Amino acid sequence: MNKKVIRILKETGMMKDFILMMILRAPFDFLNAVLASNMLESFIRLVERKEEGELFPNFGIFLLFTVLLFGYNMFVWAVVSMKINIRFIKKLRMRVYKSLLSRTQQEMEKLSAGDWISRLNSDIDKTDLYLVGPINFMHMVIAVVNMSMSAIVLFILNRTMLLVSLAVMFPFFFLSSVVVIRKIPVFKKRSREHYARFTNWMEPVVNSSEAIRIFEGEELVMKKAEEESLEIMKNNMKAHKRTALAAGVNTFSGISGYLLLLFLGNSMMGSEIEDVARMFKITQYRGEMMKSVMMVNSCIGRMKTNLPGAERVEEVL
Amino acid sequence: MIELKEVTFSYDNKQIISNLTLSIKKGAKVGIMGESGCGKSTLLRLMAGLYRADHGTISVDGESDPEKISRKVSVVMQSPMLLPLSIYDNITMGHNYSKEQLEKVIKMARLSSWVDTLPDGIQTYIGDRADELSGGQAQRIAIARAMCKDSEVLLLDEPASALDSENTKSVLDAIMEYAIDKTVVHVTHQLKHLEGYDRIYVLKDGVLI
Repeated sequence: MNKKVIRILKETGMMKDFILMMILRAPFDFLNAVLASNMLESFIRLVERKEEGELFPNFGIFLLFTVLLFGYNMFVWAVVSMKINIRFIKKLRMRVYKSLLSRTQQEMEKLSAGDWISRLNSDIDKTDLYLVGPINFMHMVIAVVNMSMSAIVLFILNRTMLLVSLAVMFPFFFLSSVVVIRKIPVFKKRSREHYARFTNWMEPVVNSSEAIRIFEGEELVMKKAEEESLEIMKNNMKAHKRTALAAGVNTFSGISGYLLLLFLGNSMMGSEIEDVARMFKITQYRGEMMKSVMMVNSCIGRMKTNLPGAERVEEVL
Repeated sequence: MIELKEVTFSYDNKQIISNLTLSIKKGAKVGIMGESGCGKSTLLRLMAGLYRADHGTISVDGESDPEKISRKVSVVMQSPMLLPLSIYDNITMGHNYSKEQLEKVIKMARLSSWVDTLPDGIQTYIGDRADELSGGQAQRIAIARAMCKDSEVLLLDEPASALDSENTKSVLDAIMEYAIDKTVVHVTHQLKHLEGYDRIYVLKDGVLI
């Protein structure tokens, strides 16, 4: 996690709550993967042993566990996360407000009114998104846990498969998160600055509306506001292009993983795989690893999109 | 030039202007005095087309539509109402004026000596709250803006209220020098600011005395 975001959590006194929320949510994807892969393995074994009559009770057991798991996840999301999230936003807004009120006029005047307003509103929302929003930090933690645990399982079940998966994952991960996504915060920061300037136009438009009307300055004000609006859009588009490119890299990484498996399937790993049921289980965990890497990539992209907002909030504290 | 016939105006259910009739001829210099809160600024805003009268008619140079009246007058308010743009943009408000015209108004508004010392001159950005400017500098930019528009009617709402005596004299002299052939309505609570005016009214209880 970014140092500035850690400071925000410390300043709001929400670090412990956040860690608790993270611990409660982190194992979900992996537990779901364990259930799915075991169910698949169990079903195939039952079919191989021609014990079709056992399929239904087995299915019932897995269904029960799945319902319990999803029920648990829903409880954590809807009750624990929601409460912590509301408290976090409330505390952060109050903390930022307090910080503003303790400033001297000279300090206040260093930034425009629009800049302060955007830090108090949309930037706080971005901070919240970064920490608990979908496909941001929280999902990244869940994905990292899933990826690490799946890697451990693969290491135990089939090391060659683990090596092949890692060989596919890392170059794409590097390309996506280091080369493609790296620039997103720069564009987003610029976009936030232009957004602040755009918001800043509200104050003179309200306070000087009479002068604007008398001196027919509507066109000038519109032009200036439009310039800022255009800059917001330009920078958002640049960030969006990078996100789309990262998504493309993700997809390509998934496809190439399958191609590699096709090439190596028989010769390299076939000899190490004892039966079909085990093979399905292994590929399930391999899939979880790949899925998690893609999720981590997507999360990094979104987090970088929201990070400039969080950094602007941290600057106020 | 400016005609108000039986004008009534209320704000927040309180009658500010009551059945007021006034006629101001072209080129006349009229002062309107009154205590704080008596409705002087409201009356000026009605004349500027910024407010719409509840009853009665207001016309400026034959025009009675408030939107069009606004286009026909120049106003200098108590607050300079500057935008977070350059001095140039604040004076021209996005309209094209010749270099000679701009130089002329900058000189008339007593801005030249200050603008010449700025590294970016007239293109200097004056900040989000114009806080780097003194009250006198900001008001002079507002006056230059009004001069640049060059309307036949100049409406002044205590343009020197926030200025010290030295700046007040300088600002008022600059206005009078420019407005020699214009119709001027100046609302103020200081009689000394209306020296040399053709007529002076007092606004009390919504009517002119």
